[in-house]
Amino acid sequence: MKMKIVQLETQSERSLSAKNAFKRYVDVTLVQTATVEAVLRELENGDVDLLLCSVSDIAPDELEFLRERNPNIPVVLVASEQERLRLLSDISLAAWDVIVPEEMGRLPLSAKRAVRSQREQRGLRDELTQARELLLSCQKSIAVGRLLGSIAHEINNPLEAISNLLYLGQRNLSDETETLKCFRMAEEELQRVGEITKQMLHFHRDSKTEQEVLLSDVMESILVLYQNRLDMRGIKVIRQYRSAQRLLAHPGELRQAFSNLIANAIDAMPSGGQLLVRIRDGKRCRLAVTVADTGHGIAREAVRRLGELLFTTKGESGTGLGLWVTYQFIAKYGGSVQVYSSARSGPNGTVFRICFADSNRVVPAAEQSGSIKMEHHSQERSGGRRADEEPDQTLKRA
Amino acid sequence: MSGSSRDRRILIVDDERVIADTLATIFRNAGYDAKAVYAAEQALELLNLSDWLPELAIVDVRLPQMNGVDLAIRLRAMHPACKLSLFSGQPSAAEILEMANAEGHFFDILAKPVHPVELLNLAATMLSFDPDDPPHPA
Repeated sequence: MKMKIVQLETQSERSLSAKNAFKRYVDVTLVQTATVEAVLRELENGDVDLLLCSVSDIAPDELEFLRERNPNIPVVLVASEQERLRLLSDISLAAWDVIVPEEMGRLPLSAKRAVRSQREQRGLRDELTQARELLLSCQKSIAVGRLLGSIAHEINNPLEAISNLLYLGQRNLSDETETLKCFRMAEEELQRVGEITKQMLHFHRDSKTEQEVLLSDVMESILVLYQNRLDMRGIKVIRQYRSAQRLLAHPGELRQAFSNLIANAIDAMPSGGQLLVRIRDGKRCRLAVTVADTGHGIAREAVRRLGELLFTTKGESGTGLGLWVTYQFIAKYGGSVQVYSSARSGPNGTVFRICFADSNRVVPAAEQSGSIKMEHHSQERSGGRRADEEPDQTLKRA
Repeated sequence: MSGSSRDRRILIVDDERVIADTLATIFRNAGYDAKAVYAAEQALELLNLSDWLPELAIVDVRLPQMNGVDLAIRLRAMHPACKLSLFSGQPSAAEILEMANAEGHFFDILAKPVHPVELLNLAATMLSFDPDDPPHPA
């Protein structure tokens, strides 16, 4: 097995016996040094598999420093019998093995085991990273699938209206005003479809670079997609967007993170309720996001486990991925999550409070002339997008 | 000629006002007596307060409060002669329909978007009205 070992040793006798021990292993490279600085230089190359050193040549804090800097390089210590007993009685000993000079003959086997174990661990870690990435992307597909039912309605209804309007427009060609009216309305409906498909694509397409994202934009893009589901269940959405700060992040990942919270809130309110979405500035918590529902709440034992991989309160219909993804992405952007939930009878519901406190991530609002454009976000809106409009009297009988 | 077709009363229930209004106009252009309402409650109110009884009701499944399937069940009980056609823009409507089926209520459902000509043909078939002979050619 090919490996590179760096040895820190001031006693020439011990250096020699280490050299002898590895003599017949041609694929082992043994670099012998006498100072910690030289060891550090070697470690910087990044190709070192094992560190071998005499306990007497390195101070405990120096060893700790080396271990911290290079957690993936195992250490084998050389010590006198007395030192060895002392070292082995310490449970926190961060060394793979402790060898006495008389036992130098078993060094090759110990080194080989240490390096092999390390490589296996690295392989497992890589696999774990890949699996995590796979899960994150799987959850995205699941989230998109969940949205599709909602989207179908948002697309098919305008299409129905468009085909009716075009039909009427064609039949009314003799009446130019009426035809124009029909075509204009058809155009509006077409824009509505376009808006939805655009949002949908946004959802699936991740820009590769981080951007300064306005969280209210993210929330709005999610709420548009869930509008139909919110309407169907009679859920009133209360928007309180009171921040002009931006978060440095991948917009797609934020959309995924918050979309799961919104979807869960909707799931928790099958027969209506209130969904509060609040974004505001804070002191300790620079940028605070609250997503609160008046739904059935989560049992106390379950609240503690939220965000755990594969943990779900939804039985067969849950995947245990949604909140895990949310927590992963929020943590990635230096955020933390607090959950308050009441599942008792009476006023109940669940509150997710997300706190972004990382000054490298939270970008203060640029000094702008005039006020921040937030009007269209700040009002409370309930029901369907058209619910507050007057009945359409414009289509007269032909 | 137009006298008989005017008797063909069609009620359209859809909370998407543009759809309800355009369909009513399309049916009126084809000689029907069509009315549009935007909620199940409005439909029930109309039937309770007037002597206008539809022969065909075209009902969107997804309505703000009482859903279209529940309205159809009520309509069928109140007015058994009224033909019913449900339509919906989303796949989840199938679930509501299955629940109704389980309780012994069976309805046909059309998937939006349905072309107006298709709806006119459907109405004609259901009301055995000849669309090739419309009273008001458009």
